[in-house]
Amino acid sequence: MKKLALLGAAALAALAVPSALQASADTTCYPEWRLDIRDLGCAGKAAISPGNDTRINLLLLLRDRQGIAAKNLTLPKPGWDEAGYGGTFFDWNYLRATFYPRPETSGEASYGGSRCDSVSAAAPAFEAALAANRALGEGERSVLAAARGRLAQTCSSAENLSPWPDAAVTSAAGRNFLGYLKAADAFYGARWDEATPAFAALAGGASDPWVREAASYMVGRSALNAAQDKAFDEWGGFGGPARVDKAAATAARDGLASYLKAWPQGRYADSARGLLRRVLWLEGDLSGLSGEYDRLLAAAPAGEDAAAELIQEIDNKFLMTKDAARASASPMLLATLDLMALRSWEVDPETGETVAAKGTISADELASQQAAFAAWPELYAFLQANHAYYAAGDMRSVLRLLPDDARQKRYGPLAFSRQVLRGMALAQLDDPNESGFWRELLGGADPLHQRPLVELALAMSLERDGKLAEVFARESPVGDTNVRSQLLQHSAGPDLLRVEVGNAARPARERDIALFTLLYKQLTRGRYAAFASDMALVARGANADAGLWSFTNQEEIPVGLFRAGRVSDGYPCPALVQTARTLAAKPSDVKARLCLGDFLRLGGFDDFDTLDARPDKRDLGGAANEFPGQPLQRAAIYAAIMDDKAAAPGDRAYALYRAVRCYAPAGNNSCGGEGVEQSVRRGWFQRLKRDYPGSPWARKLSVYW
Amino acid sequence: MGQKTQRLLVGRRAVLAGALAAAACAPRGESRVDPRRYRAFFLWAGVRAPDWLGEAEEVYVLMGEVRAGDPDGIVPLRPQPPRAVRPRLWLTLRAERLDWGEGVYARLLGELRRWEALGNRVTGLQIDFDAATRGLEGYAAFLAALRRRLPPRWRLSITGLLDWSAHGTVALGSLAGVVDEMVVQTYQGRATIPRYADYLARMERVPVPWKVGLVEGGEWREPAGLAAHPLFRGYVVFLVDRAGQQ
Repeated sequence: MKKLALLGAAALAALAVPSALQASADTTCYPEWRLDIRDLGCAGKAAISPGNDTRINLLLLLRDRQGIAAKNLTLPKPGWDEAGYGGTFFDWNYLRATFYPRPETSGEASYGGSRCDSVSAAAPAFEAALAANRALGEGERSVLAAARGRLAQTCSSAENLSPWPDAAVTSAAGRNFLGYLKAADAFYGARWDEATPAFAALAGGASDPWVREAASYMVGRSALNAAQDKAFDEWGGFGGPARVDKAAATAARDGLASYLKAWPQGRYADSARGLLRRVLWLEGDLSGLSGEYDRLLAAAPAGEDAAAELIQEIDNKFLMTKDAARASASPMLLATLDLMALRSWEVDPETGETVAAKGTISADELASQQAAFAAWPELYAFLQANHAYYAAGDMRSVLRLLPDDARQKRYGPLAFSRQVLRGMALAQLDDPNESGFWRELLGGADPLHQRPLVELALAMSLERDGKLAEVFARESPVGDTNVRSQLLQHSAGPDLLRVEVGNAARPARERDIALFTLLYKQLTRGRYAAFASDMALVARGANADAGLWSFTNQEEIPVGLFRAGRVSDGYPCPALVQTARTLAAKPSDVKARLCLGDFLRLGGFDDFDTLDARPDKRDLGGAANEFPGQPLQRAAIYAAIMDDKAAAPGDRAYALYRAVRCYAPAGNNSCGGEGVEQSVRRGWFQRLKRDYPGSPWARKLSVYW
Repeated sequence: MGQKTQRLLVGRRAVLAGALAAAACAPRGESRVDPRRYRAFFLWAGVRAPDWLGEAEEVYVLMGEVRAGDPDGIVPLRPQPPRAVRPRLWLTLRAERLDWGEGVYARLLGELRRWEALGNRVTGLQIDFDAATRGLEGYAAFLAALRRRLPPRWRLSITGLLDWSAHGTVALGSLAGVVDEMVVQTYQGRATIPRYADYLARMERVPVPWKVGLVEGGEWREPAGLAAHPLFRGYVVFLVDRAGQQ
């Protein structure tokens, strides 16, 4: 009967919540590669913090409280959303799939989570009750079992309903069951005024024990449906407590309570408790809800997915509600709300405007909550330290509130979060021992989520201190491939990249990233001789067609582009390595520069700025840049050659042609640089037509953009 | 893309709070999206519909989602189906995966029929799937198969990510004749996406009629030439809940 009990709660509809509340498409989402994130982003992390999804923080707190370790867990295969997260970052769904791996469920709900979903699920219980009642004749049993089929008809349509078998059911027990079916039919048909009293009569007077119990439960369930019947607007959304039928809600509460009193271990007890929670929500009784959620959290099995399901509901029905904090006395809920209140932006309930930091929780407010955390002082000090870090910017207080405890053998989520915040304060203070602190913390960090985060912190610390080589040193503890790859792409110089290409201890993809970065930057920063000699590092058969759409996250890195990529689509060019050799000997060589431009264009590098744009200074890879030189812009090649009197006329014509085409097809510059006005483009076009009328490039171009 | 998009962080769940934040951080002189000046809207789960929504011309209503953990079920996100008389409706389904079981298709077609039976003017189905650009080819094939299952009286719409126009044009090309429109979101997280004009300019390459999704209160200045684009079909405003965060 567990199934029915669960369905009963869900069947009243809308306990389901969006797994991405307020979700919407945006752009492809990437995490920010740093620890200090105050506002909700794409991804959370193992350190409880304001920028984490509230569900993630609450789940980590719950697991901490119950001492659940992340032992023997592995990361699930990442989907599109999670590519590149590694163990450092996770969103709610990914974390849930990591903690609670489960076989895929199959949806059985055929009425969209409405009350009708219990029609088929509850059939076995009805049949079992028929079988158990000895006062029924065999004929009556089968007639009653068949008569139940009408409920599904009522749920599907109101037409062609089977008639009730009044004549065939004659025994008193049979009449009980038939009466129950008629009441249920009224219930599924939304005739509450008929259903509720009919159930009430059976609950008081039926001789069959199952009928009595089920009807007693249904009194409250029917009243609850009546209470919310008008609570939804023409868009099917909840219109708020004001639209709830208060008398019916009270009747539901009383009915469910009296069922639970009579059958505390009853077969519908779980469902009844869930429905009581829904009454609280319908009535907008936040402190009632808070108390109930607190009780459920204390009893929730944090090692099972049911805990995540509960947290999902709490988030949707409570945490996101205005005034939730005022209603909450539970440390876990209050802490989650406090952390959310440390984010930078919040909505002004009066005006609907969002204002910076105005809604941030104050130190006084936090002080007023002290009593609620009396049994959990470590959590309270952690909240105070978060306030000091994010709101007050007082790093010394963070250190005072969170003493150094970096040498433990293992860390629960809260103890870990406390130490991470301490380390972040050390970083803000430029403490000379910051990297030493992170190295110590690594010793007790759980390998799944905690360790990659500490490796990120350590790598950032070393990068800031100009010690990039230490990150990649043989004895370096930084093994996270995402962290290393970020630094290879954005910070490493040519020598370090070359060493990593040859580092057989590292995964092939990481080494491919190092090689691709090395070659791309040599080529586009004018280091042609080095490019030509580094080309020897490209393996035979290296991938050339994986594309560059999602370079940082894609599985295959197309190192082979530099060897096998197209070099010409009209203007004759040799192999790229030959072009590089020519440029190494004579950087001003006109044909070779035009060929370099064509390689970049044909290889899809126009839309590729992953290795040229600098990360935010606060992010991993944003502090150091050891690769010398500035990236080449294709536009600069054409601008120089079109005005180069020493260049052959055909090459000047090609430069003009390419420069005009930079703006095809919509007038947007795809060749880099500042871009020029359309009048300048028109000038190029006219020069091409006027000065090089016999050139094939002039003939090929009939418009400009 | 890389950095371009890395800056554009902040994801889906932040849209509500974030979108409202846009109102606060838009520089003076930028125009804000006032929903009363538009005619088509997105109504997401948990957002209370404004009183005037019944007068809109077109509303995209989120019905439910196919979650990562269950390819054979739709989790409903709207307690009741809408009963709207005047606006044309799109039934929007969010999808976290595309390998749907038969149960999803049956349920989806059933919901469309149910909405219609309640007197709604159902224009069609919209799929909201956040494919990363390199996942677009599989998405195009999925949509072609979905189109074949969908009775011809209903149209098929998709939401689109702004960076698709820059990096996914090859795959998007194969959507012509499969989807009837694409609504391109210009917002994410806390603000309208910077450089939206650049991205939109690249829509030139996408051979499908498209609309521009704006967020209520977000920053918006129509790029030059947008209205004259032959495939541009107007705006859809994503409503945010002004009454609080119920």
